Amino acid sequence: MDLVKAARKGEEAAFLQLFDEHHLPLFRFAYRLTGSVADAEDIVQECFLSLLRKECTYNPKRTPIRTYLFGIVRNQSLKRLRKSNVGVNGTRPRSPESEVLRNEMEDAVARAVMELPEIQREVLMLAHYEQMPLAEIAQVFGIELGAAKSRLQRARASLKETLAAYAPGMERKR
Amino acid sequence: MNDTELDEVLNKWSVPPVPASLRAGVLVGFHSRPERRKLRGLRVLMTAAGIACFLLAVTLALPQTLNLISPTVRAPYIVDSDVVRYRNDGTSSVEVHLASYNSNGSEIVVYEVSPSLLTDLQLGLQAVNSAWTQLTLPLALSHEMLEKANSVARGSIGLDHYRLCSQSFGCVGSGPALLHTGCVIEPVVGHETILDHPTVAVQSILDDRRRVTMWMAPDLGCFALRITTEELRPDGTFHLVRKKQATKVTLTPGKTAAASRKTPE
Repeated sequence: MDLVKAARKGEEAAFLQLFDEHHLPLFRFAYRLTGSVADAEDIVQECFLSLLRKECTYNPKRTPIRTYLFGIVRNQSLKRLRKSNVGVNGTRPRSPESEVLRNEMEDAVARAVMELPEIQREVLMLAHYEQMPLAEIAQVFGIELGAAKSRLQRARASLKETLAAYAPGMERKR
Repeated sequence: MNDTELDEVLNKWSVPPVPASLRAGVLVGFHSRPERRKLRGLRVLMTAAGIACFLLAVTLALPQTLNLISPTVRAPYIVDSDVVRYRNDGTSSVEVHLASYNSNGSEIVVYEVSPSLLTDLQLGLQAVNSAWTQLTLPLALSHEMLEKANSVARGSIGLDHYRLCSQSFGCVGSGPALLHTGCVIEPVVGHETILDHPTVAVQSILDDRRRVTMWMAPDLGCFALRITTEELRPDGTFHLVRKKQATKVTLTPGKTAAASRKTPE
């Protein structure tokens, strides 16, 4: 039986199986989008619980569950970012936890990614960090495959410039 | 910077471990989601409905069960009556519908329905209950059920309005003595046939203000097929305030050949 269907019927084992299979990449994505562990935790939790609601529009014949869940995390993250007055360029005030956890290079990478335009940033995160195929990325964002591809190319090109100083060869020179 | 180098740099951005509280929080949410609570409520409701059905089935089966373990008492007849209240402004309304009979001079109320006090739902349930009671009780009553019916009769509304008391015989309907006098306890004020049953009308003044007249049928164990209560007005006349009127007499099959009949308007 479909795991979502079983979970909606109250089968805890089915619900936990869904959670175990998908929560890690979803958490990573949410964290990278929001820069906050607490926000990422809330978003992923809400993402799974929304599957159980009556108004949930998930249709397994139309969308794979992973694609659907990433879509929810993306929407929830954007909602939170907009609520918390994130700057136009997408940068967000860093939380104390991120200050502690990141070293200089990591911080630079995070900043560089977060400074990308929203549409490029999200595609890059899914393509690079989650190894999601472009076709699926296009489905998550509801865009054409070509658009997803070009966004990714632009994001990478931009990052190559921004992070040039941190290239392996350059790092030793710094 | 080539693609490989960019990938290496991008991989420097690590993510903190998933907090353990995430799994716990999701589980809590799973168990307390509104849909589940609704489902649980539905289950409770269905369980309650199941219990209600079971109790109904037991209740319906009770007369037959009692028949097996204790002897039954035959209710010889059932009289349907309306109790009508007459107000000072000239209006009137039915206060209660009764189904009853006399047993050893006491009126046993099988069921009563008060249309003005009940909701539609209650009326529906009462109607079902009444229909069932009418179907079963006239034919066979166990001693236990008779006791129960007696207690209901003693506490039922309206009956006190029609209990006629006499120093010689006590309250009308309470003693078998009536049966030996042909239902005559006071000066007889009339004779009338009601629903094919001859009646003797007797009258009494209660507490100097109320006049009660009862039309009792000797062949129905002195059952009063009509009772009127009148109150004394300042001008010395009596004003009808309440009337109980039989509308149908249903005889138990085998007891007599008489058939029930509706009251002529």
